[in-house]
Amino acid sequence: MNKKFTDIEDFIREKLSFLDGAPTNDWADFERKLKRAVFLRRLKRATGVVGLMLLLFAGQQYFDFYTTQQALKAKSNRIEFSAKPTTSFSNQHYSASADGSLLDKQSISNSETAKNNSSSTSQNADYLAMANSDKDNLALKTTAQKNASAQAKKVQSKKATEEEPLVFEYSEKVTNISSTGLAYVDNLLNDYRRPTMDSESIVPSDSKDFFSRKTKKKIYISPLQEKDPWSYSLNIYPNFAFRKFSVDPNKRARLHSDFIDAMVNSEASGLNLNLGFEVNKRIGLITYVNTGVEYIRNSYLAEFDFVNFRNANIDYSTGEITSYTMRKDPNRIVFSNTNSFHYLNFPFSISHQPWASENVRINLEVGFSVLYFLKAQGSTIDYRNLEVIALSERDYRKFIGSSSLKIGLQYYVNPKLNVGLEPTLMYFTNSIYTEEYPFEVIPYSMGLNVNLQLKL
Amino acid sequence: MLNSNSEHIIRLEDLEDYLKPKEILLNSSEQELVLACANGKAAAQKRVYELFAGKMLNICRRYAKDKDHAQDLMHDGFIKVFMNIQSFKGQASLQTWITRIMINNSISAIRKEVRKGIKVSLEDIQIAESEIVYFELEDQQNLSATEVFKKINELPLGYKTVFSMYVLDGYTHREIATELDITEGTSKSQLAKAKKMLARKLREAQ
Repeated sequence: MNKKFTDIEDFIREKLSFLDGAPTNDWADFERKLKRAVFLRRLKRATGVVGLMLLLFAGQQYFDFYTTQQALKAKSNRIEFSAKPTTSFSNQHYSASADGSLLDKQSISNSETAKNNSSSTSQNADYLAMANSDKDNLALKTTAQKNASAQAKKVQSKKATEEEPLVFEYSEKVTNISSTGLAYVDNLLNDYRRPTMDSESIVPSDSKDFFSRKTKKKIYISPLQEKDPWSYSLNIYPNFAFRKFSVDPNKRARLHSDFIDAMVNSEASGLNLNLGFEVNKRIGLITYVNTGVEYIRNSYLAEFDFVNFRNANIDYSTGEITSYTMRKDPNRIVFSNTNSFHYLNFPFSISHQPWASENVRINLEVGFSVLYFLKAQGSTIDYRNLEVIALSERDYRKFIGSSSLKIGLQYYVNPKLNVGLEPTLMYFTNSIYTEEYPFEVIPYSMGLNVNLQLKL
Repeated sequence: MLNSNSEHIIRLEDLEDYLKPKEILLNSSEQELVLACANGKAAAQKRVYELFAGKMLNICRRYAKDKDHAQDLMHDGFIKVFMNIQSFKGQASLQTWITRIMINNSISAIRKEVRKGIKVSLEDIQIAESEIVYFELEDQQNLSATEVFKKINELPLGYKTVFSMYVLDGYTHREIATELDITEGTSKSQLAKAKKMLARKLREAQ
């Protein structure tokens, strides 16, 4: 029975319903791609997790550092006294003046303070002398004085080595007045000159004990660590990077078939020579933020050795190869040249040094960077017509983004000079090649940095 | 009989080539296969791949420029399938789900080139969607499914893509316009021109 179709759509649908898929035998090829994709996904996740953890850790370090600084500042605003058994606190040290007016001078006998601040000590001595001469006059006892007296009694009954330091808090008002009820004492301590203490000068010695009490795990700070939170350095590091190329399936028509394998092997790896100026800011005890600018020269040996069996017929309006004409005699093409790409790199990273000895530190670093393409030098074989062309004739993207993860070892020769060995993994968000380029660069690079850093 | 309740039936004859591991290959329902794939079992992945690869290659072929391109598209599609198979909830058959992924993946891959390749004039826009290309071929004619498929693949990329999406994969013009980032009018004109060209090619092939 004949069947007429009113529309071609029905005909096509019916015909293709009988089309069965031919079996494929390319599981091995696919499995390789699948494994690579799974690996890349795991890598991305691991990088993300490590980056997040480092960021959190850096944040915590910064917070600890900040709160510590605040605490030290607050500490420097207090007067700390050691209540030794020999120290006596009595009314004679807190006296009103002989003329019956309110107490306008206060003296504090403190041997520790005297040691730290001679000017204050002499002043205190004056006040003490004045107070002693007027000790029969109105005596006022402050709250602190009461506490001090009680403390003094306590401490006398203890051994000197068991004494707790007594901290005398600065207070503007005296609230507990003597039994005479005469005194309304205000601004009692106005004229008291606290010993001046330079908060900066006490940080290094004081902070060590402070940190050791505060943190659960004691962090070792190498004596070679930079004292200044800001540091500037010059870096020189050769880096051997490995990259992988594959044919972009959408651009296969732009690529000469005889050339595919030769091209894939030709640019897979290369030596980078990087020179950089780096600025580091210490944001925690062992955590840094790094930025700067680097000049990168990526060189590689372009080597081709393949047989050209056919000539490509190129449609130059689309840039695609439309057909091939077989050559009578196959042509062996051998080519070798050292090529280089030049970039400026603007990195930003956070690094953390979880372990350190005096000279050696382990460095974990995560960050991102923007590469600016400067120029390409050298020559290569054109992937369509197999002629030798200058690399500068090709179009390149100007900016390339990347994220990086480094785990390295640094040896500090002295505070100004260190040598580092850092296996580095970089993931690129794009490549320098434009849409015309028929290869996909697998967007990661593994390399080994050998870093020489000179602190300025 | 395996998995008689599901829409997609895995036939025993499909399993003849697979011997290891038996617990996955011979006694698995579709759900068990999906579970095994989600757990990264290579044997299960291989079986799913080889069950559907032929059909999926045909689908990708309709959107690709050539067979190699189609194979790459299919591989990319299957990678997405296996990376996201844990999100397969079984509302449709596994084949339907995989087919949708293949189509979406193929369209994404060629979208830019299709847009670049489509040249639209004002006259094209005016071609109505309802225009029917009468095609008086009889069912018994000698053209095989493979030959018809080949003729479709000879269409220019823009024609072929819109034709495949509309006629074979059930997209509306609005959906095609959205997917390819073109106008509905362009989609309609591409379809009409594709049908005309295909009819001519099929007549010539008789």
